[in-house]
Amino acid sequence: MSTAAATPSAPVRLGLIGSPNSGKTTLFNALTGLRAKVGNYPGVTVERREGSLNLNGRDAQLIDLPGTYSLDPISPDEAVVTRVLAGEIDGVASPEALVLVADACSLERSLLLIAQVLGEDRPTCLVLTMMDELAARSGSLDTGRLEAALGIPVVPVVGHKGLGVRQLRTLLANPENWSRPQILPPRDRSEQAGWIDSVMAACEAERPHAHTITERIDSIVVHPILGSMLFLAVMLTFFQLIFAWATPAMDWIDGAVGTAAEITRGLVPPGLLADFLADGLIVGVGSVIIFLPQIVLLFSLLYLLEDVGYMARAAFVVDRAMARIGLEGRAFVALLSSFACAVPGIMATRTVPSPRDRIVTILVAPLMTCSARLPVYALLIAAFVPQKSTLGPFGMQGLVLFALYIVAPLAAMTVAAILRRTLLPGEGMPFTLELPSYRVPGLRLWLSQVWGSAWAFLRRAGTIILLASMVLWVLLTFPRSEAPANLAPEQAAAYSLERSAAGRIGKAIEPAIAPLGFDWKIGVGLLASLAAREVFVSTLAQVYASEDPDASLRAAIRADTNPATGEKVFSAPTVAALLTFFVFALQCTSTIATIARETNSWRWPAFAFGYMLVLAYGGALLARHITLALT
Amino acid sequence: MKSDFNINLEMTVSLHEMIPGERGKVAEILAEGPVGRRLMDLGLLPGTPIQALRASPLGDPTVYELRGYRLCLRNEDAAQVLVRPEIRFQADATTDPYPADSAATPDAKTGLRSVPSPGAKADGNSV
Repeated sequence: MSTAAATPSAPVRLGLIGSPNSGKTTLFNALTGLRAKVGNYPGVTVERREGSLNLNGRDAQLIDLPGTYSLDPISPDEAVVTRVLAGEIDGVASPEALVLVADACSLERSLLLIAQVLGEDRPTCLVLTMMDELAARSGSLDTGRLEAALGIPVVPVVGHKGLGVRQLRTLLANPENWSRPQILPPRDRSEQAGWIDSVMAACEAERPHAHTITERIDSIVVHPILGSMLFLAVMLTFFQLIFAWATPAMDWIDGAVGTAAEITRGLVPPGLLADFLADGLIVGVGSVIIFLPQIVLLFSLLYLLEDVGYMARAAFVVDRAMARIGLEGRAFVALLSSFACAVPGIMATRTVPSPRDRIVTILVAPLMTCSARLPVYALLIAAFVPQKSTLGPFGMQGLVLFALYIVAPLAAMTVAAILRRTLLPGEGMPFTLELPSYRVPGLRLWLSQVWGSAWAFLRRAGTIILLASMVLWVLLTFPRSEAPANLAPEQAAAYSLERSAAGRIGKAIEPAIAPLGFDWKIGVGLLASLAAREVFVSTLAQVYASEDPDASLRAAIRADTNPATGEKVFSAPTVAALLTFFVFALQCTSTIATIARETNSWRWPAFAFGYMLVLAYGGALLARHITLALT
Repeated sequence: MKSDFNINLEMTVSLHEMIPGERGKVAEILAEGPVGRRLMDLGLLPGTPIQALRASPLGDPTVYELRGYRLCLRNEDAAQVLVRPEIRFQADATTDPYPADSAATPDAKTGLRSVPSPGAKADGNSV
C-alpha cells in the first residue's frame, strides 16, 4: 500500500496515458479546466503538462503524459513516458495510479498499449472516449464485460460534452479501491494479437462502420484535383490571415504604444526616467504584444482545422512534397506561416510529432522571408535601385524584391535537406499520421487551445523579448553624452548615439564587416536590428540625423561618403551585400527567444544564429564581389 | 443457393502494392528494429485485416483502414509490410464477409485486385 492510501487526504498523483488522437487532451482539459501548468521535461522538447484538481474533497495531481503508441520507446523523447513511470525524472514523482485513455472506435488498436500499461502492475482504469461516435457508426461494446475481461474499471465519457466526467471524478478519487487484473496480458507480441481478439470477443464488440460522413467529405478533400485546390485555398487563407488581416490590429498596437509613450513623456519630467519609461519599457512591452494578433489568428485557424480533422488531411496532401526536403506534411503550415513571422511559425511546429523533424523545421523557419524584412528591403531598393530601369516588361525594383523573396525559401529547403542528412538524420522512424473522423469542434476546447498558445508566448518568450529589448535600449543610450548646445535635436541624437555603447560596438566590429563594405553606422543599425529587423530603418534615421525615415533618409544614405576614401558608403556592391545579409541573418531576438523556449535549450538558438550568420556573411561577401565584377 | 467462394492463395504482396479498396490480412513485418516495432505498435500484427483506402493526390502516402482507424503510411514504410490479399470471386453480395462496411464503402467491391480470370467480375447473379 502506498502512503497515499494510508492518508486519503494527501494529493493523489494520477498519470493520464494514451495514444495520440485518443481524446486525452480533451479529457485533461475537461478535468482540470484551464489550471494546467505547462513546462518542459528536461533535455527534450516534449511538453510537460500537469494540473491539480479536487475530486469530491480529495486533492489530486493529474500528469498529462505525452501521447504514445507504446511503452517500448524508440527515441529519447518517447522515453519520457517510461521514465516518468519509473520515477527517473527529477522533480516528477511517479504517478501512483494510471488513467488510460482510448478512443472507443479504435479500441482494438489501443489494446496493444493497454496490454503494456497493465503490465506496469499499478492501479489502472480505462476511460473510453468518443462513445457517441461509436454509437453513431452503429458500433457497440459492453463496458461491463470489458471491465471483466481486463480486470480494471472502465468509464465511458464524451469529453467535449462533459458526459461521464462526474462518474470519472468519483472513480478517480479512490484509486486504492480499483479492481486489479487477475492475470496480466501477454508481453510477447506474437501472443498479443490473440489476446486482443479474445478481449474484443469478450466485450461483444461490434466494430463501427466506416464513418459515412467522413468518407463522403474525404472523397472531396483528398481528391486529386479538388483536394489540391482546397489545400491551396486553405493555405492561402493562412497566409492572408497573418500577412494581411493581422495588420490592422498590429498597426493599432503600434499606435497605442506610441500614444502611451507620448503620454508618459507628458507626465514624467524630461530626463533619463522619461527616456527609460517611454523608449525602454513601453516600447519593450509593445515589441512583445505586437506578435499577439498574428499568434491568435494563426492558432485560431490552426486549432479550428485541427479539431475539425482537416489538418491531418492537409499533411496527407502535402507530405510527398515535404518528403523531398526530408520533412513531413505537418511542417508545412509552420514554414508557410514563417513568411509572415517566424515567431508564430516556430510555435506552430508543435503539431510535428517527430522531435527531429520539429527541430529541423524550427531551424529553417527563420530563413523564410518574414514581413519585418520588408521595410529594410523597401528602404534600400527605393534608395538604390533606379525606379525607371526595367528588365523586359518588369520593373527592376520589383524584380529585386521578388528575387529576395525567392532566394530565402530555396535556401531554407536546401538547409533542411542538408540538416536531415547530416546533423539530424532520421531516426529510421516510419512516418505515421492518423486521419481522424471529421467532427464538429467544441468551442471551449478551441478557445482554451488558442488562449493557451497566446499565454504560453507571453509568459515564456515574451519575458525574454522584453529583457532583450531593454538591454538594447541600454546599449543605445549609455554612456550618455551631452551634445553641444548648438546642435539641432536630430544632430544631438546622432551625436549621443555615436558615443553610446552601441556606437562603440559598431566601430569595434567595423574591421569585421569592412570586407562586406559596411561601415560603423551600418554596424550600429545591424546591432539595433536585433530587436526587430525593421528597427534597422529607424536606427539609420537616427544615425543620419534624418527628420523622417523616408525621403530624407534615402537622400542621406545616397549622399554619404567614406571620409577616408571619398567613395560612397552605399555603393551598389555594399547595397547588394546588405540586402543579402538581411535575407539570411537571424537578426531577431524574438525569434531567438521563441526557439529557446520551444526547444527548451539555448543550444539550438545559438546554432540557428550561428549558421545563419555564416550564410549571411558568406552570401553578402559573394553578392559584393559579384556586383563588383559586374559594375 | 447462390455460390460464393473465397480463394486465399498463399500469395503475398507488399502493402503499398495494394490497390485502393483492396482488402487483405497482414502476413509479415519485414522491417526489424525500431521501424518494425513501431509498425506493430500501430496495430500491424500478423493476421490483422487491412484495407487500402486511397492515395494522396501526389501518389504518396496512402491511407489504410485497420483496427477501427485510418492510418497513413508512406510507400517506403508500407513496403516493409507483407499482406495476403483477399481474392474474392463474388457471386452473391448478401454473403459479403464485410457486410458492416459494404454500405459505406461501395467502391470496396469494385476495387478488387484484377485477376485475369473469366467470371471474376461481380455481376450479382452468376459465376
